[in-house]
Amino acid sequence: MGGGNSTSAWRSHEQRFAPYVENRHADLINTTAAYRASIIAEYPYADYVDQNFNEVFFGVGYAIADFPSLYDMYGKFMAGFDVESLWNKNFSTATTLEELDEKTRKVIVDKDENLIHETLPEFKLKMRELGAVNCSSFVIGKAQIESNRTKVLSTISADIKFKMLEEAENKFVKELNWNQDVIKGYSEMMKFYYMTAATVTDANYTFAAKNVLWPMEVLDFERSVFNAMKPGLGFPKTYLQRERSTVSKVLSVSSDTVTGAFVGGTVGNWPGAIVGGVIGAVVGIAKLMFE
Amino acid sequence: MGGGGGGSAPAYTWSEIRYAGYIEARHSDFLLSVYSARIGAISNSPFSAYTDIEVDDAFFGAGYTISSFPSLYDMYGKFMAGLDIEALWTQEYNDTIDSSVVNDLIAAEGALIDDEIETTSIPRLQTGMRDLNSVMSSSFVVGKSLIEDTRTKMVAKFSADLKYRLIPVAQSRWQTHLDWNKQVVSIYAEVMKLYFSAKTDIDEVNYAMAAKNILWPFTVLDFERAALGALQGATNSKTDVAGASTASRVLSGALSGAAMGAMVGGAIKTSSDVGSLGSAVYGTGANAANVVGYSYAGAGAGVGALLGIAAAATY
Repeated sequence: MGGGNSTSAWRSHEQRFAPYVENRHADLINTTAAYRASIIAEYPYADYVDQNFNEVFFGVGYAIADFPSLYDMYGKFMAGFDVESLWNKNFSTATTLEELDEKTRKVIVDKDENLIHETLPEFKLKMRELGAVNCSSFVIGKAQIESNRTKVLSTISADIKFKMLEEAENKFVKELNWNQDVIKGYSEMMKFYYMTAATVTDANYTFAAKNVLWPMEVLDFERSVFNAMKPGLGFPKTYLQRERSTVSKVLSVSSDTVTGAFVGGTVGNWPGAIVGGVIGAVVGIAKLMFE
Repeated sequence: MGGGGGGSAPAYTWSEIRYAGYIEARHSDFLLSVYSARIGAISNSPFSAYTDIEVDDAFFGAGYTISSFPSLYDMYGKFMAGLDIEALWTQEYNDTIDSSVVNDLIAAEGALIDDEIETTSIPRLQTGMRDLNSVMSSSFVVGKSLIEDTRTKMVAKFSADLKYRLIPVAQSRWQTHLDWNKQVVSIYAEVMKLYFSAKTDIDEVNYAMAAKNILWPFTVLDFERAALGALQGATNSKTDVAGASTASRVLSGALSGAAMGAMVGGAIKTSSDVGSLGSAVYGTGANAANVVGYSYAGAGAGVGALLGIAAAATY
């Protein structure tokens, strides 16, 4: 290095391995290249068809914007809903049903049968025995009988109508709850739509990207074999380092299913619970798939 | 690098790293393949045609935003804090006891009795009296009066009974109205929470897609970079497209959280549901202090949450 000798500025290092390693490595590289050439144009994702969630949710040719907005629905069924007129409508409907008066008349006709065939003949007979048929007492007596009939009629009618007060109140409250459920259901559907839209859109574009990147992905395997002799390098991993245990998977799906069922139950009782449970299970499974 | 003395040291040194010939030949071929694949992929971004998922239209209608609607505090002021509950009670009482539908019902009751008197009672009385030649007598008049008197008494009794029975109904309606107002505000808040959850998550999806589209060339080139450095041990830094992976985050994010917490609201219960309608409408007038009950949804959400915690613990 010193003295009068000149030092070369160019240094070349060639990394070599034992011949048997290089032979085997050459074979590995050639084999990988051959496989790469045979599969690089096979595009396994090419026939993936995008999932069209909009059609499923809204029908062919429709989008979410074609339907009433959530705030419109909220205004119609809740904030702008006239609670007072609902009560008046239900009260009037429940207490003035034609069937109520028909029922009253039917009962009074039965009473009349008794009156015509038993009460009045008995009254006339006794008045005749007293020789009082032609006196004012007989007239008043008959009028009293008719008056009592009117009382009975009124009592029957009132009893029937008073029972309908409870029905009017029940109907009133149930309709208010129904309005709430309409909004809750609409919200749930919207929430489910957006969760689905995000998930499915991601899946669709992930497959599209994988399709375009397929040659790169294949070549990436070949890349990894070039430096096979360096420790710690291998085929690229495409899975997570840590996987959820089976117990955890079951509990996770169960959690989503139960939550979905109970949330659905608030919206639509048992049918809602079933639908909610199914939705919860689907979401739970989807979560696991995308982990 | 040079030594001392009279020797001259070179200004630069070059170091060349070479590999076995078979490796270099194959690597060169490999790089050409990668280059060719890159040319095909780099201008073919699958995200270029992505259309943003729309949130505002679905929540508010085309052309509207959340600012176009009353604020939550306005709604709270209108339906709760600013509500005159005394005036509401008076309104409910009057509307229940003296409403037109109540008076219509009383009139209808009178008409029903009238109809029965006219079609049944009076003809039956008249028929007997005609046989006795008593139609023109005072007794007949008194008899008719008796029936009419009863009619008047019964209509008045019906009216009084009806209104008496409607007093607890008015109280119940007042309570129901208060509960309804509470629900209006609660659900407004829940809808707003859902909006922000959806907006946040869907924005993330939309912007992630936009980022993926812009970063697409780098996603492709990253493979080539790794290919160039393959002999030095370079690896591809990603197994996904550059930009956030969104779906799993959405499912476990705010929107999913909203699914857990949102809409677990209580239904308004009738007074009979809380065991007091019998007394409220037909009895002593005891009223439900609280006619809002919370459905089993709350318990369900709790069970779901516990299972979720267990799932996390056994991950």
